[in-house]
Formats: sequence, structure tokens, C-alpha cells
Amino acid sequence: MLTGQGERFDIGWFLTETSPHMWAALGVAASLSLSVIGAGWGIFTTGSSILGGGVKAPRIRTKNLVSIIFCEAVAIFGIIMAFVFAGKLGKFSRELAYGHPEIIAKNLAAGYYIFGGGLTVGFSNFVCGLAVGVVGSGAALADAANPALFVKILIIEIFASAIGLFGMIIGIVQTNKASMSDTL
Amino acid sequence: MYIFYSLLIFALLGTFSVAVEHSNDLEVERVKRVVVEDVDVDFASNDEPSPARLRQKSPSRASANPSTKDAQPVPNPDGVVPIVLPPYHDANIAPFDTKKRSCLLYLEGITILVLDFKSIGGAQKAYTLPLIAANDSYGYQDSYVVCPPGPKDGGNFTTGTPFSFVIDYRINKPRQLVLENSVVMTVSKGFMLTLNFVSNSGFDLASAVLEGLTIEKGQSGFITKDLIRSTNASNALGTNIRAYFGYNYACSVTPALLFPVKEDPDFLVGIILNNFQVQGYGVDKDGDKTIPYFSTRTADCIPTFNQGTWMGIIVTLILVSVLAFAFLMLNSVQTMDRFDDPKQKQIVINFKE
Repeated sequence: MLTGQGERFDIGWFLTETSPHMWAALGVAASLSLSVIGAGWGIFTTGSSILGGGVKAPRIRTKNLVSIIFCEAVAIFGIIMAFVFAGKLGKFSRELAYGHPEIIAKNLAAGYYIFGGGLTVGFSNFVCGLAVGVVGSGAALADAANPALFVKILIIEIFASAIGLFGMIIGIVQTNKASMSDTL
Repeated sequence: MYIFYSLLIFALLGTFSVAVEHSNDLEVERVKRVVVEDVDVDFASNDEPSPARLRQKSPSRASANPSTKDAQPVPNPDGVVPIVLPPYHDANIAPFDTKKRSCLLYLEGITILVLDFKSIGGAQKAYTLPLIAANDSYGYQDSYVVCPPGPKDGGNFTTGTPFSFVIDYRINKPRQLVLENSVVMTVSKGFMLTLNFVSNSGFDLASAVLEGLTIEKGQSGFITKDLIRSTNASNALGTNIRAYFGYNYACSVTPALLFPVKEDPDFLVGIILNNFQVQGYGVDKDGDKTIPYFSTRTADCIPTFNQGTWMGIIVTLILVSVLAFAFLMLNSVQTMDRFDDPKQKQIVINFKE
């Protein structure tokens, strides 16, 4: 770049020559693994609060499992979307598509669609899990102090859970047109 | 903590580099040469197509009808290797004149490839026959090389300037490909390969035309009939035979230029250029006693970081960062020391032996 050879930094070559299978598989991996990280972190935060508060106020134990279920739902979103994305993967040989740039273009686009969809689903669910976890932890401790507070805090948790749903919906919309195959 | 994070990533990167190679699965077979009498070569002349990516109309193409009547075989003491166009090593045939042209092509070998089309994507079946020369020759006439004159003589290498080379390869001894003691493929006639380049922000191979390549079927193998190819390449742009502006292109094994024929879709015939270097403009020499040379700036077909290397690097970075994050999480588990009091009595645990 600094020696007057900036044209050798060829991003176009990189984006067209790397395999769309790699990008699609990274999308599937991101979708599942980031959602599960978020869910796990949320359950860890909420669970430890429920256990701690439940020592002195055993009545909170059953009611606060709803927070754990909200966190778990985030992981389920992730695995459903991973199934959907993995179903769009397919066979693609660059040798068969010589002379047919539209087939190469379609497969490259599919790879990038699935990569983007996976990141969308993964990051939204990751942050959703974190948020639900922290709110659930607060809900458990507030419930232990004063039982009337639980329902109000649950409303906050529902808003936090909607974030994960947004990610899932947009992930579906992004990958609607993705299809990998050797023919048009 | 962040310093430790980054140090860990750098340390692990050094030990965890994996490059995923993206390789074509072609079988390369050995070649056996057989002595047969000379075969007369007959070529059909062909109109050259205009290059693909021109923004303005291209200038008239001098080599539109390569006929071999004026093409002399270039005398070369070691046989056909290497093919140099124009053959500046023989001043009688091609005197160096930058007013006429300032380009150069160097080719050490051609490999002929036959692919079984139905097997692509699965267990691909292919035969490659390297035409490693001995007693072959190549023809040359003035119209075979068309390119702009040198920079000091008013030549201009701007967007849309085409340049082309015609490789007139003449086979004197037929080549056979022998697998497990039976012949699978024979090439006995020569052929003409025309490479049309065009310059834009660098130069590209815009199209290639093959004439007269005849492959005779052997006694066994998947080639079931004689194949004759005189057609245009379908993937000239896809082979990425291109270089940046002011650079030349060099490759030890180019991707195959494929020449499909609609009537015969089962076999794909390709030409692979071995040890190939080409420059369109700016070839000069240092005074009278030297020979013309390529410029020093070369774009190789395999860059320092190729596709497979980059894919491996990206995936490795992702996995290593996950590993580093997990390791830091594990390291941040601490025992609870809120209720520790060094002044209180120690707990004594009695265990019976």
C-alpha cells in the first residue's frame, strides 16, 4: 500500500475467490454458538440469583423458573435457525460453472446471505440472552424481598426477549433467496 | 487483562496456522514417447473474435487470418522449448524494433487436458498429456504478434488496447499417454492457439481461440472417440490470467483454458500453459549487445496469500479467539474470600487413619 502498489490489495478477488461454503458454514456456526453463549450466560446469571435468594425465601423458586425458560428460548431460536440455514447449503463445483458466471454469482450470494443471516441471528440472541439473564436475576432478588414486584419486572423481561425474536425474523428474511446449486 | 488477551492470541496464532488448500483433483499420468513417421499438418484459417471488455472500438486487428503459408518454423537448437514470441533470439526472423512492438511472451510447455464432463463434482476423471518438447517446433510470422509500440516510440498502453499472440505449435513426433500398459490418448497433429489480451486497469486475457487440436482415442480409458477442437475458450476470463498495470504475468501452471463444443458435451478439452510469462508493453533492451527482457514487476498467478491461505487464516483466527475467550473465562473463576478472617481460629480437620 505504501509503495505505490495499492492495486494489489484486491478485496474483489478475495470476495469472489474464497469458497461460499466457508462463509455459509461460518454463518451456521455463528447462529448456533452465539445464541447458546447468550443463553448460557443468562441462565448462569439468573440461576445463581434464584439459588441465592431461594435460601431465605423458598417461595421464589418455582415462579422464577420463567426467567430461565426465556433464556432457553433464545438458544432454541438459534438452533432452529441453524437448521434452516444448513438446509440451504448445497453442492457447488466451480469447475462446472466455467462459462456461466451467473451460477457462480448465485452461489457466492447464497454464501454471503447465510453468513449475514447467521451473524444477525447469533448476535441478537447473544445480547438477548445477556439482557434476559440480568433482568431475571434482578427479578428473583426483588421477588424475594417483596412478592408484588415480580409481575412488573416480568414485563421488562418480555421486552428483552423480543430482541431475540427480531433477530430470528430478520434472519429468515435475509436468507429467503439463498440457494446453492450447480444449476440456475 | 487485555494485554494478556492479545499476547495469548499472538502466541496461539503462531502454533495454530492451518492452510486449507483448494486443489483440483486431476490425475497426472506419465508420458511415453513413441517413434512414428511425420504427419502432414493442415490448418483451417479462422477469424479471431474481438476481445470482450472494450469500452471503445478496438483498432484493426492485423492478425485476423493467420495462415501458415508464410510461417516459418523457428530454429531452436534445443527443440521447441522455450517458445518465445516474437523470437528475438533469432534476429533474422524477428529483429527487435520498439517502433513496431514492445511485448514478449515466454512459454516452456503446454499440457493437454481431457476431462470427463459427467464426472466433474464427484470423482473427477481427467487425462493430462504434457507436451514436453523434443523435436517439436513452432512457427512464426510477423502477423502472429500484435501489440503497441514502445513508450519512447509513441506507443500507448491505455484502456482498451488489445494485444495478442499466436502460438503455432507443430508436433513432429506423436505423443501418447500410456496407463497400465495401454494407450489411452494420442496427439499427433499440431495446433494453433491464439491468446487475445486487452488492457484496462491492468491487462486481462479476454479470449483464446484454439484451432486444429486433434486427440485420437486410445485402446482403453474414458475417451471413446476422436476429439477435434477448433473453437473459442469458454472460461478465458475465469482463468484470471491478468496482471496490474505495468506488471507482467507469470505462472508455472495456469488454470486450464477449456474449449467446449456443443455437439460433443461429454469431453472437455483444455490447454494448460506451463512456465508462462507474458508482458504487453514496455519490453526493452539495454543497448545493442543484450536481448530484450521482461520488466521486474511480476504478478504471479499464485499470490503470497492465495484463496486457501486466507480461508484458513480467517477460520483459525475465529477459533483461536474463541479458545482465548474461554481460557480467560476459566481463569477468572475465583474462590470466595469474603468471609476469610486470618485472626480467627483455623479449622482443624481430623481424619482417622
